[in-house]
Amino acid sequence: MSTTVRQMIVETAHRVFRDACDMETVAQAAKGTWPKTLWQALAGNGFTTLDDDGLTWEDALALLQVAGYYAVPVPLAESILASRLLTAAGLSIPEGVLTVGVTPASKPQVEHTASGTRLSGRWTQVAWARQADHVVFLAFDGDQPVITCVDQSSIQVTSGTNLAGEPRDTVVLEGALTGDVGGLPSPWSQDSVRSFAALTRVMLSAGALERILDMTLQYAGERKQFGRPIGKFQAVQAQIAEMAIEVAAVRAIANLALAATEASNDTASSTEGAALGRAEWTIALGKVRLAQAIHVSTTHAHQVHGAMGFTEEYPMHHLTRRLWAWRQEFGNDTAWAPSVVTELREHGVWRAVTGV
Amino acid sequence: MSRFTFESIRLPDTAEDLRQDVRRFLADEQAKGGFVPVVDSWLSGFNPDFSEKLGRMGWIGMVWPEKYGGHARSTLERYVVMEELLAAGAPVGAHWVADRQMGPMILRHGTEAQKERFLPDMAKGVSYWAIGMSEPNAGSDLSAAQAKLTPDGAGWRLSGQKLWSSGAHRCQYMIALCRSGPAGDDRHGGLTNVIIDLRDPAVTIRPIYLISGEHHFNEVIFNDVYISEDMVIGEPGDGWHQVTEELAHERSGPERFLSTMPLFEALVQVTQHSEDRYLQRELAALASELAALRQLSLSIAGILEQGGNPVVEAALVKDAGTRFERKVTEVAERVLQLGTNGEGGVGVSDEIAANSGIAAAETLLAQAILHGPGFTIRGGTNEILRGIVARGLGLR
Ligand SMILES: Cc1cc2nc3c(=O)[nH]c(=O)nc-3n(C[C@H](O)[C@H](O)[C@H](O)COP(=O)(O)OP(=O)(O)OC[C@H]3O[C@@H](n4cnc5c(N)ncnc54)[C@H](O)[C@@H]3O)c2cc1C
Repeated sequence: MSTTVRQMIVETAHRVFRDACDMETVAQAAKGTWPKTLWQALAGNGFTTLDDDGLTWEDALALLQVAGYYAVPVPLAESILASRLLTAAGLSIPEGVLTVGVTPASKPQVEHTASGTRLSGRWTQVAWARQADHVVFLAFDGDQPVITCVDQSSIQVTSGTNLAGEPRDTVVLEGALTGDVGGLPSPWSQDSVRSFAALTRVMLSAGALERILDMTLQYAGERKQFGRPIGKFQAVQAQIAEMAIEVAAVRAIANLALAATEASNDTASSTEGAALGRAEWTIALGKVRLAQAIHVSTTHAHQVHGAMGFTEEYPMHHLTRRLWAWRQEFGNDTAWAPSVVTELREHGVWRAVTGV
Repeated sequence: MSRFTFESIRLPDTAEDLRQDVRRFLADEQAKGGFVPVVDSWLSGFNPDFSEKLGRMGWIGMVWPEKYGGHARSTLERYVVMEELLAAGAPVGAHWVADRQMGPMILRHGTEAQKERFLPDMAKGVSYWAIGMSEPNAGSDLSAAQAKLTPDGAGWRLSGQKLWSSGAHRCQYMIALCRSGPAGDDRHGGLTNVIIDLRDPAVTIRPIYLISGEHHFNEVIFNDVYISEDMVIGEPGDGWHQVTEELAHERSGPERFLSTMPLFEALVQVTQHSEDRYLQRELAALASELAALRQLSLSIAGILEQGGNPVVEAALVKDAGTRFERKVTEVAERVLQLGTNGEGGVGVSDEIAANSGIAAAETLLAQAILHGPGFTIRGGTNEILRGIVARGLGLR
């Protein structure tokens, strides 16, 4: 892969999002309006699905940082993850709005019947399921984790939302007809899928954290009290400086996770297991590091904005509410801690951190 | 978007090979009883024998030119050696300042004669140096330095005092920031760095004991010390510029988040069998913070390698790094109990108390608690560092 290509994608993404994803679009989406133009702009630029000649998985992950910066109110992360899973399982990617169900409530099963393959189960946290043309599911064929894609017409949706008002639906299928079924490639497990889902949240959050720092800086430079911009006060500066390190730290971990993910794709099969393990470990680190960054940054961002930042009319809450939601989605820091600690216990802290 | 330069760095294979050499060396030394890991080893681990061994390995003055006893290695290779030594809690205190600060300063601003005279012994690990910046009334505000240089023939006479001089009682030399003229409008003028031979009878060194009872700090008094012309660094009056550059080196290294690594390792070891979710979350949070700091610090090493001067980035990482060190101590304080002869803290007591490493962990915790207050002060306080970050963010 070439970093310059990725750089170009990221720059283009900034342009596209700046034009098509302003705060009004985000605010309307929070009220339940599907931002059709935005989705079309993203799809038109080849941002929504992976492509042999276009967007790679790692490019897409970098792109999600930009999406997070603009509080993207469509299932972009889910669409990208869905197409990663389909590709890995050797299935084709359908047209239209795509999302994923990778948080099964129990152990959803596929059944091969005379009338075709049927799928039963219940999935929670399915982003924008109500809006999707297709939903890609993680299910099981016996004990083997599999991926399969179901058409909108076959699914029943119970609407739900996360803290940011983003659709997080529950989907229940009872013997729904599904298309092809593909197994997860070795050495992926169900946990790998959970890791990749978590990784999308790390990436989105890295961008959103950057945005609230920018908004806070701008506000501190403009808002005056006692005859000077509040950013001239040392106590305010200290809060913002602390936000800056949190942003930098999350970005550092996100980049580490990105590099490890990339390495796990590049590695020859004999060491794949180890490389994948390393990638999953860095993702767990990312999920855990995020917790502190979100706590510190959102607290300070709201504090510096005074009562202003606590209102619906001021747009920062689109970012901070998403951050609070993303911290929780696909496992919060308490949930991910054991994965981190197992490695520390096995190899010692320093060896785990240096990776050698 | 991003305001600071924090490019991801991938270490070259040569550096990773070197890491394995350093680990083998350290494991050997430890097995031979050459050292016992301690918290804050770059400050308290003053061990001339060990420094000399490192000198022989070629691990001091690594990036300096060979003609001055250096080894012409890359900044990233040096970085790896530093982080391995620190992570192991090895006693590197004797040569640390010379290698990190005083050698580079002489290399950048010193005369040819000074380079030839001082650098080779530093690189051998036999020449130890103190930092003479702080004074009783010049701490955070170094431009207030008063130690006074008065012209005397071709040289100078020095009177005044330095404070908090780490290790001065065991060092041969100090580089001191002194006042050679008026401060001027920007308060940065009239400062000059000079090399002082600490064995000069006109120098008095008085101990200031730490709260742990250790003798680390000193008060250094100059009773009309003669400073010959060839002991001045660069041009008289250039001191401010030199010292700010020096501080970027002082602040940017991995020692600012690795002081408590031996304690962190011990904590993970003694809690090996605890199922407690909240304990695990605390350990995971520390690890995730450490991993991020290391990536950021590595990227600073990368900037230095390319000849950049990452002042703001270094301030950011030092602030966060020292707060991290305090957190390691805090978590260990929550988990362990001191002085209970192996009876561990509430909640995890049985599992932890049964662990044979408990005594060592408690010793490391005691070191960390007693050294802790210094972490966020030395090399510039966190309040000052945040001011630098705020300036970098355009707030000042
Ligand atoms: C372990 C250790 C080793 C050291 N080794 C050396 C050494 O070898 N050589 C050497 O020269 N010095 C050394 N020092 C001294 C160190 O550099 C100073 O202690 C430090 O710069 C702070 O100065 P001060 O102690 O005079 O505190 P002060 O400057 O008096 O500060 C006191 C408090 O006021 C705050 N403060 C001051 N000014 C401001 C401001 N403008 N804005 C906001 N807050 C402010 C500070 O942050 C601090 O909290 C060492 C210190 C320690 C702890």
